Amino acid sequence: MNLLVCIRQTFDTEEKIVIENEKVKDADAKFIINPYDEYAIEEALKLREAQGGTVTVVTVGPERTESALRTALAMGADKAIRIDSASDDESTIARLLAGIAKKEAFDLILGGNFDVDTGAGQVTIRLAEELDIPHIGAVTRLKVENGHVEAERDAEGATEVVECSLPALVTAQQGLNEPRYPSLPGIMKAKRKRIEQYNPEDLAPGDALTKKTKVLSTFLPQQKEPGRMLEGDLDDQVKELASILRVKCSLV
Amino acid sequence: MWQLLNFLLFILVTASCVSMIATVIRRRYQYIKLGNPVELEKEIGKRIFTVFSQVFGQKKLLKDRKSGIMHVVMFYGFIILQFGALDIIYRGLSGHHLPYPGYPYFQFSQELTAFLILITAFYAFYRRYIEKLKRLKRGWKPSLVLLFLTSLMLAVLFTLGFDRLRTGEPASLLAPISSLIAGAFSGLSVTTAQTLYYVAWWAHLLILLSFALYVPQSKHFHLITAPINVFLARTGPAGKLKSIDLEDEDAESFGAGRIEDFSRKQLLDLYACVECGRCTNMCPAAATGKVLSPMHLIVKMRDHLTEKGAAVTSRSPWMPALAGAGTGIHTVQVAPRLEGTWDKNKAAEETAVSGTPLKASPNSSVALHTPDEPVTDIGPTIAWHQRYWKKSAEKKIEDVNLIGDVITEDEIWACTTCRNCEDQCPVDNEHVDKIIDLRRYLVLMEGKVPQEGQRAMQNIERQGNPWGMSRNDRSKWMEGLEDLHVPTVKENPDFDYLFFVGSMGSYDNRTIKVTRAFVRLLNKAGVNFAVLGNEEKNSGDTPRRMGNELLFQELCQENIATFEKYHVQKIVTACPHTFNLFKNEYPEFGLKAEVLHHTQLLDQLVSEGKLVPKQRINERITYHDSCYLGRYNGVFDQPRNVLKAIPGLELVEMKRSREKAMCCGAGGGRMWMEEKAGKRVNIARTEQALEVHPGIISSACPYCLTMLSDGTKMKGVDEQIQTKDIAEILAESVFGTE
Repeated sequence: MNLLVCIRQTFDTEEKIVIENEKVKDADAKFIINPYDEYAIEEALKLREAQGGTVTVVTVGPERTESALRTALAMGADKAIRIDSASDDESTIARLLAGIAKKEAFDLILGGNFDVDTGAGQVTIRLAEELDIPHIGAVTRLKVENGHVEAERDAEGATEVVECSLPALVTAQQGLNEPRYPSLPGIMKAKRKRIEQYNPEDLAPGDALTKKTKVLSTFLPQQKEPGRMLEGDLDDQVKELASILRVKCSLV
Repeated sequence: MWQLLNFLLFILVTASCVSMIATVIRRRYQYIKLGNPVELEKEIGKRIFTVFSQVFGQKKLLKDRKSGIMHVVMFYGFIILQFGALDIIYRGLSGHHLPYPGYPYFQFSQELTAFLILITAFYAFYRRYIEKLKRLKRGWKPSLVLLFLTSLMLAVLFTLGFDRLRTGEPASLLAPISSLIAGAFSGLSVTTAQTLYYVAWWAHLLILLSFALYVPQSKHFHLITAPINVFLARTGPAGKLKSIDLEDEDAESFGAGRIEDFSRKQLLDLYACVECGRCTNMCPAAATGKVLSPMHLIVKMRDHLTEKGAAVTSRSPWMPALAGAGTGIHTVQVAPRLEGTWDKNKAAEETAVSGTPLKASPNSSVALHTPDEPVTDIGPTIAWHQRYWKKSAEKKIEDVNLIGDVITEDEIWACTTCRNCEDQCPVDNEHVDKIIDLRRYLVLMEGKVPQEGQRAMQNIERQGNPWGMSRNDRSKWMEGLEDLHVPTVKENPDFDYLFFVGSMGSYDNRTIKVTRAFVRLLNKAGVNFAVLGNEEKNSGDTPRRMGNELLFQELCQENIATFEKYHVQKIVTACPHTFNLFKNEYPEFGLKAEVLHHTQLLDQLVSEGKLVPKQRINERITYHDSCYLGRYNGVFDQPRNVLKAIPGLELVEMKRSREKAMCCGAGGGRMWMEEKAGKRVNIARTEQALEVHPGIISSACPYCLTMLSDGTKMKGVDEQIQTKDIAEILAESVFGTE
């Protein structure tokens, strides 16, 4: 089976966000593979182990994102591709990925359910649209057999079972698997592997890459005020609470 | 004529036996040679000293007084009797005694020794089959040696007796037993006496030779291997792990995934084991229902090495061939259960299915939450191995995996690396580094780590601490210190001591209190120190003990670079794991600094009068030894000195303290892994502390503190019994309740 996994490098979930000149500062941040994309890689590796084939990982990003690809290679991916672009526009990214996906006949494309840093989850779905193939989102169990996909997906507390045929695209939800820890020989081999590189122009005509979104402003959430314990008589406390709710929170 | 015939027969029998003995030893040597070559530290003087104290001084054997004394008698008795055996053999062949000086006294020594050995053999029987020490295996095999010993001693005495009878030598007080025997048989004709003498002489020779042939083919091989093993034992710091050369491009495999991946010294360990079970007896994992038993770890790998060695070299380990009767290959017959080996219901169920009950003492396989649950019990784990380490005919040696079929992953991850097994082992076996090598294989080659452990390592990799909290929050504990002065290395570049706070000390809310107490004491004593702040990283103990050598070496090199950048000369830390790593394992990577544990520095400051504990603390207190401080580094007294300097404190020792102290359960990365099997180690340790009715349980390690305070909570006694670090208690006394 020919498998393509779309990944993105994100901030480590514990990273402190600092804004400088209207932009999130990333100079000395730690980067990781988006955890949901990691589930996608693991699932692809499992499918390959069970059924054979190749696993290609692809990312759109600047040079620093190669470390994410190396980690994926260390986990066991066969090939890695980087599209050299710093774009954060989901439409653009989806079209660039489509350029890669169209180069080869991929049976199954996998990606994460959403990105932990931006909270965005359009890229993979847009990619399925671009390729005109079915997609199943937020998958927690995946079965692929004889060109047929059966997936369980999270549906707000319930589980939906969805079927489709290959080629298809699925996005991984937490619980799908536990990603493996790269082995040392894997890490060593990954260091020597070549990462294929593309420029955006190679993959899509310029006008297809116009941004569809615009960032208006970037700001940190308001500092949380420390909690306050109400004291005194119960009646007084109730009164005080009511007044706080009315005045400060403009409720009631 | 008879003399000549006797002599020829003697030569024939002895030569063929000796050649068989040489062969079985050589074959085992060939199996050991399948392992990797080792370079041993030279240090001959140190090695000879160890041999003297442990082989001739029997130092470690005497850790168990009763068994120890028994062994001392056997050990020296056997040496003494060798001279006698030579004399007996020589006399039977030549008709003369060997020209030993003071012969009558020599004979007395022989008879006395033989008598003493008979008594100790009975005592050994008593310990194993009547007293039923849990650590000792029962069954017919271990009794074989007693049979040999008893019959050999009887043969010695009867040979001497009949010799006396045939020569008509008068009874002598210096030969009491042989005189008695001669007396009992008096009246027989000279010819009969002569015949009886030769029968006894031959019996003596044959028993001696077959015993000698049995020795290398059984656990009693230790007669030969143990002294060698003691001589070749590690001479450096206790428990220091061998580094992996990660730059080695040709290395195909890391860690031990096959028995041949171990070093030859590690394989020699296997043949040195005499299955005394002292290791398992002290193992916190075995004692709380985990599958891991250090003795079985060794024994199973030994059986596996013998079987694999036989297959690889195409040379049978057994001579004569029937000795190894019963073909088949040893494997673990079932996968361990998640709940471990302690479970009454399950045990009953298994009994019902198989019809054979678990061979544990009646109260050993108790269900987990009954009130009469023992504090610790190694019985169920020993029974598990006896039951499931079996030969099966259908298995082929090529298909047997070291990890899985011989040693299960459950065993590998159950180890807390506390080294209580190594401390006990009379033949100086090194169990822990074998476990780490197995872990290294799992982690580095297969990426197989218990989920929570993997997460901890990933967090360390990304943020430099096991929780994955932001590395920029490492110095957050310094906020709101008010009058306390905690300079960073940048603010105070001319510091004497670098205080390495550690991950626990920086992030863990409970341990932060210890950090603050320590800093307060440093301020008071006027120690010129500094901290690294956010530049500090995890020490790498967790990754290293979990087998992630790659991550360890990265951290180690980064930390050393930071130390060099700030010209660090002396390091003090409140974490024994960090202390051990910096002191014993970082130097190999270039660290040149004096490393102290905070209890060592505090002890020094108190004795110099720079810290004066004046406030009385009227409490009964017990001190729990941290493995990495105590057994690894011999720091037993300093923390106790600090406690003794505090007025009012009454220090009481637990039954298991100092070298014998049981682990809290958190070492070797166990801190970050769930403990589902059996009983929790920290509860067992807390119960041991409660036995001495303390008001405070003190410790000097952030892991121990966490485990014991959790323990008191789980036992519901945290209201009455405090758990505290030495630094906190000292601060209380130095500063009072200001």
